[in-house]
Amino acid sequence: MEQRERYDPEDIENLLNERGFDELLPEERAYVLRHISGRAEYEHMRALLEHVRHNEQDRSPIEADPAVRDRVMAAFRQGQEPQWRIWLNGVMLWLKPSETGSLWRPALAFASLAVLIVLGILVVQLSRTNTGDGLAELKQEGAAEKASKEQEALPAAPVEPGVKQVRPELLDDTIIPERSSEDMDERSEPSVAENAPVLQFEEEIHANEEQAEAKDFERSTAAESTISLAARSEDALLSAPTAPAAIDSRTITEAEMVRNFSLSNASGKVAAPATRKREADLSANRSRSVAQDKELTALLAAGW
Amino acid sequence: MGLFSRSLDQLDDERLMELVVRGDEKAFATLYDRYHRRVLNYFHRMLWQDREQAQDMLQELFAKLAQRPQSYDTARPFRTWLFSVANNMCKNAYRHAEVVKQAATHLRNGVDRVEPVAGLALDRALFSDRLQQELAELSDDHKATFVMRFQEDMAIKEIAAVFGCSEGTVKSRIFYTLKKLAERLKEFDPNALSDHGTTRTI
Repeated sequence: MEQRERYDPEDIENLLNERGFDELLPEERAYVLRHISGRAEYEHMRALLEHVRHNEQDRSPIEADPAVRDRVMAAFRQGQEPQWRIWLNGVMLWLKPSETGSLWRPALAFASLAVLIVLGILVVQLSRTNTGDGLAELKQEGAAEKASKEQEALPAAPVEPGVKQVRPELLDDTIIPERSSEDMDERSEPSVAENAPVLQFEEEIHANEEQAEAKDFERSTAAESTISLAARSEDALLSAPTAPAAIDSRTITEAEMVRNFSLSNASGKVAAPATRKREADLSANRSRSVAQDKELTALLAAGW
Repeated sequence: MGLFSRSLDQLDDERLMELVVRGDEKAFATLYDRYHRRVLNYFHRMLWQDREQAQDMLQELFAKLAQRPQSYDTARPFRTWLFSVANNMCKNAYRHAEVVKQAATHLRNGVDRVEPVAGLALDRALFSDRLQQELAELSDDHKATFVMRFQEDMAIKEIAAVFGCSEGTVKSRIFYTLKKLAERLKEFDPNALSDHGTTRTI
């Protein structure tokens, strides 16, 4: 079986090196002519390769400068230095710079920055300390004032006969609930701190007014309120799930209740409407019902 | 000592590179001695036959290798890896010099300009000069392929490894480079000259 040879451009290179166009076998020539235009081109390429070969033979290779080898070996030694030594050299250079003339400007800048930062921290710390002490004092002053006023406003009220002892926290919701001193402090902390003298003066005025109102109110509603309070306190005591056995309890009078209103609201804006509401309730109890008014019933029946 | 150095000379390139990575200075010196001449001449041919630039490039190449021996790709033969790095450096140099036309001008005014000689030497000198001019006109890859194949005597397989391409691509480049150069340098063909009635002896 005839074995066909395969050629590629590299084979053309081999053919160019070995044989002239006339020396090619017919199948080699056919292959060459598929890639090359003709005999002339083949011979040009062949001549070129011969020239290149001779040119390389005649050419004397250049030699490297010995200094290049020295520099390359120095680079290798430098690359093989331990990293920690390089790092240490850097640190030493930083600690003890060889040229200090160019370093005073950045050094001055860094020093100034450090001083500014330290001063800023000190100022912030001092201001925080002052603010905290002042608040604590104000709180203490406010609490002390309240305690003393409560004691002053609560004269040793004798327990009236027929008035039951109730716990203040069990009073009903028509009475403004007495807030705990902590709650009060939390909510009114800034205003108390800022307006403590003004509030003290207003409280005195309102206390006087409320005492006057309380006396009038006491006379008119003494009997009714005593009864209602007694009933409500009984309900509250019954509905209390677990009443502690030993608890600080005291007797609350009407004057105390009014006083409680004023204490819960120093400006009297809430206590006064509550008082008016209570008076309106009493007058409504005294007034007639609509069904008893014949004229009004007639008007309603007429479709008015 | 002599025994030790002889044993280093007997080691192949890849084994020497392993020692270089570990910091063996003598292994690095052996590699330098083994390849510096070839690399220098490659740079010399590729970079407009400028001897000074070829020396600089040689130093840069081995300095890179000295500072970062880990950059050597152990999967490749050292020789082809070295020539691929050298070839990339030549491409960068071409970009720097804004390519081949400036190179031709540089060659005409170059330091290694061919001195006028008589007879056969003149013909060969002229051919060498023209060949360099024509090579400068080629693309970077075609020129490098031609230099590696016919001036560095590298095998097709090695050249393909240097360029990271197939052997067929290398063969094709060689063929078309030969064809183009033969067309442009046909005046040096004795048969062509004899056609014009002039006899030249090569």
